[in-house]
Amino acid sequence: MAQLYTDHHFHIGSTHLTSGKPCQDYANSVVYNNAALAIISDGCSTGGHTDIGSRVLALSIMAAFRDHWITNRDALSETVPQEISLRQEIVSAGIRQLLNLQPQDMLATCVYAYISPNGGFVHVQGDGVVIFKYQNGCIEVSRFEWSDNRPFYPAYNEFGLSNFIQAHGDNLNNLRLSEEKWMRKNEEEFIDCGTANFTLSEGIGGIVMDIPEKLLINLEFIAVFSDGITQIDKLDWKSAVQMFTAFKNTKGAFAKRRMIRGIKDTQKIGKGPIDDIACAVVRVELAET
Amino acid sequence: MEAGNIGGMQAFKFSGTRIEHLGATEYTLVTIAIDETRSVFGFEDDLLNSLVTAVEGCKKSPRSDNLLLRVIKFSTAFPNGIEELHGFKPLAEIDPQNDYQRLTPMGTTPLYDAAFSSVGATIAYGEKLMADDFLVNGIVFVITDGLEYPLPPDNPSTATPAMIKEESKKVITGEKLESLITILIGINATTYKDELEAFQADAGIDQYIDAGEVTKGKLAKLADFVSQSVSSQAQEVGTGGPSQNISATI
Repeated sequence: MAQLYTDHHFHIGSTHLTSGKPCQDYANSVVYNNAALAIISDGCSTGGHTDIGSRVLALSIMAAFRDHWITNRDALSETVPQEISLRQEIVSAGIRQLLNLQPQDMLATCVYAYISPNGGFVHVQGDGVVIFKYQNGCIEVSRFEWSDNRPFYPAYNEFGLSNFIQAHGDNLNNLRLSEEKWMRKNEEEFIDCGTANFTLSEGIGGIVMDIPEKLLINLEFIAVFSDGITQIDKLDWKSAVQMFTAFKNTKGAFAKRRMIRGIKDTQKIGKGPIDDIACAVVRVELAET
Repeated sequence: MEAGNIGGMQAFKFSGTRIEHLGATEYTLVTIAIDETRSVFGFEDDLLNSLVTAVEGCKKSPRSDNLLLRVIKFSTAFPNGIEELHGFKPLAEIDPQNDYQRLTPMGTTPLYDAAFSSVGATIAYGEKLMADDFLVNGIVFVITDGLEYPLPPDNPSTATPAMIKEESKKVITGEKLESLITILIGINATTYKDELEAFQADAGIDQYIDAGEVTKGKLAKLADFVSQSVSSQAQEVGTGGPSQNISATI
């Protein structure tokens, strides 16, 4: 049976730091009754108080995850991502009203991994980067990007969905979301594994990457990043992925330590992260039976 | 706690908190080496109070969660000249009023071994933390009231000033730590000022401070100096540089 551990970290990018804006990325993670959630959220730079929106979104999903896991103990059914989204919408809509937040404050993307000891899934709501590291050293990286840098925000489900569809050509069958896939075996170079394209309709529903148990037991970790990982000064984004996930020791705050060190190292060659950056990791250990 | 030794030398052991029990991402490693030889007889209680006050001062630092403290005593009365009161551990786990027992001055002075153990353990443990992505710097205080005694070549230490210097150099050449400050403090040792300054230079110790004759006031100032220096160095961890303006007088 898989034993799960998590860690997370987020950091302000140089653009927001110098312009006096807050960090609009957020990350969190938890192991709850043997199941794990690792989540990142990226607030829209041109939205409102999206530093708050990204937190509300992520924490709403965490609440939904706890609620779902404690009552269902099933992370593998096809309907789980939709169930989580529904619960999240209810929670975040309530919080938005309680805090008198405006719709534009809630514009944030979200990527989370919901993993149980028997498997789970990654749900991409908007954009970001997903990494699977296998125990044999192989790394698979997926970068999700929307056309015209106009990502889907889950908050659109409460308002503004028709405007979003219109902005993307008013055709739900248009291919507007891409998944750039790369793979790296041990010390070799990254290999381009092609690009998958998704329709506007699929993107709005969120992309689900299933992790059945037979895949989970071969994994060392699953990491989710905001798109800040692709915007590090003078560093190719795949090298950044490699650097920020080369955990030296997986005890304690392993992801936080690696990210802090990574940022420090990248600031020796340039400005470091240009955009805010967030990372959350679920680490898998196979328990002795 | 886990045990280690310095440069594979079995005579120089130390202990430190296991990584999985460290909650912060950056630390300042603090070592205080206290002379417990027979020459401190008469002011051992004041010296202990000074240690207790210094540690309590460190606990009040805004960076206290980022400090790991090791305290050793040195005297030829101990096997290999060193007794570790405790290895590198968080201040929250230290209760100086109860943890530090009355000093019992006896034996002569293995000063070189004390300095070598202080510097070497800081570097060895710091290197381990750095390898695991922690950001680490260090500060070492060796507090003595006299010289290595008996004098060389019949001296009790295994280590030499050259070995201490070589160990300190590793910080710069091997990037083992972000920075390390080493301070030798002479208390009631004005008579040996020249010799202790010579040892400081030979061992590559950053500063020698003559705290003057022992009085309650001087020992209180010593405690204050230690805690302020620790606080200052702790502010610098993560910046890559050593702290500035550590007062060179007590």
